[in-house]
Amino acid sequence: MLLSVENLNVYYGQAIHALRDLSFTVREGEIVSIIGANGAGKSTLMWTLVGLLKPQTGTITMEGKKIRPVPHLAVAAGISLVPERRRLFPNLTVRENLRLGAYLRRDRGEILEDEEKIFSLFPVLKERLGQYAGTLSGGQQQMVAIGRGLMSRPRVLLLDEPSLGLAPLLVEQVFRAVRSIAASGTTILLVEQNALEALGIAHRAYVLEVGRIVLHGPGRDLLDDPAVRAAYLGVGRRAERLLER
Amino acid sequence: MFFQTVITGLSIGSVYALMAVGYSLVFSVLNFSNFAHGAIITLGAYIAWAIMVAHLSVPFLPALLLSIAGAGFLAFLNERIAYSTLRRRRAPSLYLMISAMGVSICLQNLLYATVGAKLYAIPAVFAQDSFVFRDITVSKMDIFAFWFSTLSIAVLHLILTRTKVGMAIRAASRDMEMVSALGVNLDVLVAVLFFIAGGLGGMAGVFMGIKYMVYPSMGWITNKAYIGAVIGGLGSLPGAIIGGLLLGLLEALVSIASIGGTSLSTFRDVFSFGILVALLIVRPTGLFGRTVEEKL
Amino acid sequence: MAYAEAIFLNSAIYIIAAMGLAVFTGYTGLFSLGHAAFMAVGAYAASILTYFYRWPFLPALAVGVVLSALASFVIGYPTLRARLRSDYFAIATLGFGEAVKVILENFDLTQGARGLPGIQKLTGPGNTTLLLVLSIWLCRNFLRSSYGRRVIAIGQDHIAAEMIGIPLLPNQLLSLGISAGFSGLAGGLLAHYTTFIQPSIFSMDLSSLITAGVVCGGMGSLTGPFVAVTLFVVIPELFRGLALWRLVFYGMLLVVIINWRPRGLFGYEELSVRNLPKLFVIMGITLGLTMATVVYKALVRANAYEAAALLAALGAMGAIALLVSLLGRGVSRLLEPVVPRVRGAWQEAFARFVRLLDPLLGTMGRKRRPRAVVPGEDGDGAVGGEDTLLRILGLRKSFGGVVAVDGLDLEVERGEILGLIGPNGSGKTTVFNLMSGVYPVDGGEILLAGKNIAGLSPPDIVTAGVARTFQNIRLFGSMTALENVTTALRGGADYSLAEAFLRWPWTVWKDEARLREETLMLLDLVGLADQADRTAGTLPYGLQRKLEIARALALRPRLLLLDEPAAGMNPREAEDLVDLIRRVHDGGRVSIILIEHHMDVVMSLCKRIAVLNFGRKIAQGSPYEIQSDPGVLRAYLGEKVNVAVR
Repeated sequence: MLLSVENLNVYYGQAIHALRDLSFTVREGEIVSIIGANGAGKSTLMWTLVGLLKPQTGTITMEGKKIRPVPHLAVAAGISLVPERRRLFPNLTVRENLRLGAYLRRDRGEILEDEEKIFSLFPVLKERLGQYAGTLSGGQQQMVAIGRGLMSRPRVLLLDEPSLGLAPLLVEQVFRAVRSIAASGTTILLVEQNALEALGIAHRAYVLEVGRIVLHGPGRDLLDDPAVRAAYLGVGRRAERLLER
Repeated sequence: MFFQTVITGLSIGSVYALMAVGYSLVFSVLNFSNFAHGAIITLGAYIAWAIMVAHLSVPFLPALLLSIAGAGFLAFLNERIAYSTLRRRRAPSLYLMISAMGVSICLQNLLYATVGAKLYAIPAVFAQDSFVFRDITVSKMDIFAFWFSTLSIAVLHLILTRTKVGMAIRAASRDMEMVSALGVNLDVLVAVLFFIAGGLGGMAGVFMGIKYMVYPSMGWITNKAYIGAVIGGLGSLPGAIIGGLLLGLLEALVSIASIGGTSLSTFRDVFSFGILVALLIVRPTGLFGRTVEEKL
Repeated sequence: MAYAEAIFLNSAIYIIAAMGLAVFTGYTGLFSLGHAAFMAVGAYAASILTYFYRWPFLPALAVGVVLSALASFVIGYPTLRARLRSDYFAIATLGFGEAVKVILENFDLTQGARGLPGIQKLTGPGNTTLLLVLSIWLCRNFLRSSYGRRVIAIGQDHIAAEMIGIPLLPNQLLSLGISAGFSGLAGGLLAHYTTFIQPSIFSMDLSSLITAGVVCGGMGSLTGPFVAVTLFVVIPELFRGLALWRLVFYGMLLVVIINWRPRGLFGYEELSVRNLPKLFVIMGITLGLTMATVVYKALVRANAYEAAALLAALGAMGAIALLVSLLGRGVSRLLEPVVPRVRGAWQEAFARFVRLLDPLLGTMGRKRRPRAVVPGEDGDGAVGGEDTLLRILGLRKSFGGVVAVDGLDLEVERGEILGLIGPNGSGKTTVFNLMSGVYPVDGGEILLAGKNIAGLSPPDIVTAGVARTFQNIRLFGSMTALENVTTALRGGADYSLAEAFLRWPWTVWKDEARLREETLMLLDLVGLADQADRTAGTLPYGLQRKLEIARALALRPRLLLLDEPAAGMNPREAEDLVDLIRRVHDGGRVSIILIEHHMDVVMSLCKRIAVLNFGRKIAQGSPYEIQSDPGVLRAYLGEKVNVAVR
């Protein structure tokens, strides 16, 4: 067990109960996907894991140690977030954005090594090191964002909707990169609206609905499960009952 | 006469610029107008006076450096006491401004109550020496101040572009939340930020104290510096420098101007504030500032 | 006695100024650092009239009030029109204050920096008490009127206020004018009390003092500033020797309050039986402090040890504070049953009196303003019964380089509930924001019953008949549920501003009663009638949603935009919401566009659904059609869906 979340209750804004008694686990070397419709609480979960949102109750345990909900402690413990919509720093260059990802590290030599690894993953970045991040295209920004997330040499890489706003070809590229990253040993927790890509790549997956986990199982199995479609598009017994009224 | 005015304008303008940088630096990251900056500047001057004249006889350069460090430390304390709680709670920037106001009122009157309203002089360091060129006089002190300020801003630039902390500060000016998500300890970052801003302010205070006098409400001048920062665009450091210099120049020119025989010099302050109000209405982002569109 | 009189007069003057600032800063939420300038205008105007032209006191004061209000327009109009953010606005007022001071210093009539000495001492306990009571009464009446409610709504949430049809600029200017007027009155009284004024009196220190009084007293309250300012005047008197430290203390107090108790002493509450104990505690501490200083000085004079004297003084203070607090608790408990009965009896008697004189005064001199045309009540009036209510053509909007809405075409039939769904970032809320006037439109048209509303200001769009709710609820948190809805009521109140100030019974009372009834009907519709007097911010989440819908309905819209009303609701709450929306829809009286992610809600309410992706409509049809549309499935589930779905 690398990452374990137990009975997480998170409130968002004034009174929205975003995550309800959430519990799940991530084992080392896995790719775990969490899918669900909007408003299901996926981003809320990501933010809570990295310490930007404080849970009302519940615990987050990383390699057996409880993590306090403070960002720099979470990152130090090995959690790294690639946020929804990238959130690069537009006034910094590509290289600076990457370097910031390694802020907490001091091992200069290894930082350079990791940079090289990222360049081999995303060769186009090497050509644009001095370019301001704000001028990059959406796909390139996603690559920088993932690179920045990897620069802290995380134990668990959190990916929040990496396919958001990207054309299908780029989405494929991104997910290929994710597979590659997982293959080299990084554990990945992926949150996505694009269910099929997310399920296709995952060892295990959870389906989130209004803050609760409603389905759980190996990625392949959930891919074929009509209940997944139901969770998204309301095709199901509940909806049919309402339609009859 | 004209060139002398320009020199005078630039010399006060460079002090404005130094103060304005302090304002813009804090604004760029925390997005609020730190009204207590004026108090820090005043305290910088008082520290210099205290250790050069009143209690000790520290020579100029060490005194300057100590004042800078002292002011920086006081600015750091100011942030911890008056702003950090609000910042963590993500309170609206207005609350931060009110708190800054409170600090400013408190500190200024603290000086009145303890040291008194008397004006003090810091001994003229280069003993009134000046360079004279044709009919233009430039005091050596002004030249030193200009040079030292330029050096400091260059150091600031290096810090911002070549160090990790500086990079984090620049990043924080766009997305503070994301910076913290990368593991940066925001409390430390903001502390460094205020130390730097305070240090620059203390420096400006010392130069001001030498140029004019030291008294509790000298922080009022920083209102002018604030105008300079707004002219240049709050949040932009080159803007702060240019804005400060520009304001100094404009003020000096207004001082010697006259309309139909009546001197405008008494209206110099109205002029400056008039520019401020007009600018806020027409172009609040100033020359180099950024527009932030409110996302609903 | 003269000493007590001095304290009273000083307090009264500052309280009047604080009342004025409370209306502007405390209630309307606009922070001003230059109100001393308005005091200066009032002071100089009144003084010049009494000194040079021998005017009588009250008329001179009145002129001061009017001039101050006009002066406020000079700084208010350009800055408020520019919609400056709050700290920029505060700085602009600071600049204004300084500028006024400089102008006064250089003006011959005002004798420049030397000031005006020898003003007659016309301010006395009599007229000051009268003016103080009058000021408080007028302020209270204003704030309880529909004009006041609008101003308070702006202070709570200016975006939501615009969305319910309240134009910002005129209301903010009104608030500023009133507040400047009161400051001018205070200034005039001050001048005729101290008999000498000069520009340096009206400094930023004075502005800060009054501002501190409002903030520490509590924004959104009149009681708070009253109490705080009184304390600010009284307490330094107890520690005469520490006069210089007064402002040091106020500065510290500001920092402490804004950091740890931003509500201040009486934030958003007025004096009532419930918080009477709090007032007694404050009085007790003040009295205790007074006693403590007396005891201390007496003992020291009697040659007691300083430490002993200090202990005795502290003991005295504690004892008195405790006694008075307990007294307060007792009084409050005594009054609890009594006050409502007395208030009820008084209201009944007064109501009878009003009804008696009604035939005489009810219609006298009152212009009946025509009720605004209320769309949605019985069709659309002038517009022919066309079936399509809303037609969006080629709507376009970009933020920076990101295209949020990319040539959207959409139609809403009269009386239908149209569902609007789509993945994250597909532009749904942006469409609502464009429709309700939050952002300007980059291109395209939004035709409501044939009229293009794209680019209109939010209040104009409300007039055209569009109302909306927000994804993250935007209620006026410190107003009651009733007030939230009343503020939005279409047609509003029928009385003039003057009548509002006087709370003229024959117009204001009756109208307020009518508004209350209408509001209760709306609250009843959403099931909140029993929560009418509860503060909106304390309502549970689900009820807040309902209240927001009720408030939108108060605008009597033709088209209602609901933005994710079921967000964060569990299935039971969602079913409840579905019932509510059906009731509201009332078989087609209101047309509705519903953005929702809760598919059950959408499927059960909407006969037609439009699907957005990347800012464009990609599908439209019945729920069944949508669920089986491959394009829709692709948008939500990903490109590979055709492979996976059997």
